[in-house]
Amino acid sequence: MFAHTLVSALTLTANRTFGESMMRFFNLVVTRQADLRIALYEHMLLVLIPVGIAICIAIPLGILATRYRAVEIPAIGLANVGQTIPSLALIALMIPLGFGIGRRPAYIALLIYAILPILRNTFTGITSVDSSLKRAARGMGMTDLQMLWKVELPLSFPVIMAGIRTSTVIIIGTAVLAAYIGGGGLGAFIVTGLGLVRDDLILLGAVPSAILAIIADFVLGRLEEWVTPRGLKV
Amino acid sequence: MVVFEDVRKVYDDETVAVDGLNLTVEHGEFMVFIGPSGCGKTTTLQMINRLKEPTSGRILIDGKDTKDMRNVDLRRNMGYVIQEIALFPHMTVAQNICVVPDLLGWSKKQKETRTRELLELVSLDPDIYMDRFPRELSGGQQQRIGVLRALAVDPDVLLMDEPFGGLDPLTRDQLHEELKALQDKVQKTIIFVTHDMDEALKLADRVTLMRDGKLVQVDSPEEILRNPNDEFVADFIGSERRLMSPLDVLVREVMLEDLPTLRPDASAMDALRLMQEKNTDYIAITEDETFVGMLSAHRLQELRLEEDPDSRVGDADLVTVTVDSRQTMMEAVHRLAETEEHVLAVMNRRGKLVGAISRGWLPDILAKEMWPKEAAGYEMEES
Ligand SMILES: Nc1ncnc2c1ncn2[C@@H]1O[C@H](COP(=O)(O)OP(=O)(O)OP(=O)(O)O)[C@@H](O)[C@H]1O
Ligand SMILES: [Mg+2]
Repeated sequence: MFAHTLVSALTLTANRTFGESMMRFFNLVVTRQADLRIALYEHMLLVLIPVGIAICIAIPLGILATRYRAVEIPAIGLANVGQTIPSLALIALMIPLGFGIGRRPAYIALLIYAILPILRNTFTGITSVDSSLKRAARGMGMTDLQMLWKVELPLSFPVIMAGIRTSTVIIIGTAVLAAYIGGGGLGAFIVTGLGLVRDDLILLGAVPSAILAIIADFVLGRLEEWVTPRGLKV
Repeated sequence: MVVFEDVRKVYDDETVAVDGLNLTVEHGEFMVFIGPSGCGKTTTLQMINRLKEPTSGRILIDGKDTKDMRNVDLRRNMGYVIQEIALFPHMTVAQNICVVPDLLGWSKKQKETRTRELLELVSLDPDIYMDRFPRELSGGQQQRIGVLRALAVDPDVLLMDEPFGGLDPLTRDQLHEELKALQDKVQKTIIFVTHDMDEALKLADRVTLMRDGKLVQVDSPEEILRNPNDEFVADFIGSERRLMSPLDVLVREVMLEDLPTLRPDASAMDALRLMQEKNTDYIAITEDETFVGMLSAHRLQELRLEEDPDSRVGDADLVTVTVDSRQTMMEAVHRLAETEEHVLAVMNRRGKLVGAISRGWLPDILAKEMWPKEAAGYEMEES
């Protein structure tokens, strides 16, 4: 079914000029403004909720993984395996796994996907803090928590932020696929557009999500710079 | 006081890093650990603050087993300068210095005062350096801050692991001077690791030479130079000393020891007799272990024995020019020339008389340093 719609979409864009498609797309932005606004809002929720929960889970889990090997092996292992599952497959898997369709399974699938970069970056960020700094910290009498709070976290903060940025940008793109299991968002336009063979509808989903990704990348990049401790900036 | 009792450290891979260490470092002593790379110096140091646990044996600090103390308390009360310096890059100089004060909950005001005090101690202007980050400091400045960080709460025991490694000789010398001045001022028990013999000789009260995790010799620098226990020690000293100019040797390596001594109320006749008996041209005058002055043959003549046979040595114009035993001969010679005296009293860092440098002996001393083989041969012929 995907293959069929893809083929028709391709023939369709090949038959019309890109300029024509854009004109029809701009018309659509005006006429379907209300729908676009709702879809945009839904899309943001599809990103913010999973990424927000992912931050709350992945950072503590990443920290625990640096402390206990019993956490490290399964958590980091899963993170690495999870990353290799294609995103569409993960979303589609929600149905046979018994989560059904709608927003909830979409959030769950996106959450699983969002955790991975943050978890990995938290873990590597902390473990790559120079071992001599850790020895100095312990040698001066810091407890494990003090060392985490005063040394390891400040030094790995930029890396963790980079993980959050990667995760957000990936999820903005992946959330488009949520529409296949009825998750709503900008992806709904694309899915319908592919079904109806209407490139203006496809663009109505694709362009705003691309813009969203670019803005998120920029803003989070700024934030990353801002949280980098002054002593680390060159 | 730090006491090692049969301390042994075997790593998981069965490397024996420290093998049956028995040693007492006295309160206020500057102890230098030296030995080739991998002989177990860092391991020994890290067992004191329990970054590493001994496999067997005990380490006592002021009589208390370190095992019975809480790790963090033990460490906060002990300065630690780590081999890699490891200043925290995200903290300013002031924050780095105040890591331990912070842990102990000092007030902001206390911390600021202490930071200024410490920076001034190593001649870094607090107003310029306090708010800098480590990356904005030169290597030498970073090492100074590393040392200050260890001194922040004025700990009784200071562990220093090659704190001045990888510095140019000039900066190193300067830091040595600063550390010596500091030790003179604040009397800490310092355990200092190095693999540079010159550094050891210059700083130490006693030197501990290690090889393969074992003690080879524990002695004062003078004793190690004079009576190396075995070939290994001799080689270790030798290889370090070959390229030195005779004026670069330290006063304490070549000074005259076992000085003839008299009390100030001894008669001038006694002094004359003692000089003839010992065949020297000076006598140290001390009272209750305190140095009063040096009586040279010159000054003894001025007492005019014939006219006043009852005169006391204390009445003579005694020489009170002194030189620190850790200074170089360059300084001693300079001081002799400057004061036109014939003898200098050599004091250790606690201000105790330990020896003398006499004008008459100077050529011998220099010759021995410059041509050790010939000098030794010459001595043998004579005896
Ligand atoms: N964590 C460790 N695990 C296993 N072996 C170790 C460990 N740390 C040190 N060693 C070994 O123990 C021995 C002593 O090491 P140590 O670091 O105490 O030497 P060192 O005298 O400080 O040397 P250097 O002058 O190079 O700093 C060496 O053979 C070293 O390889
Ligand atoms: Mg070492």
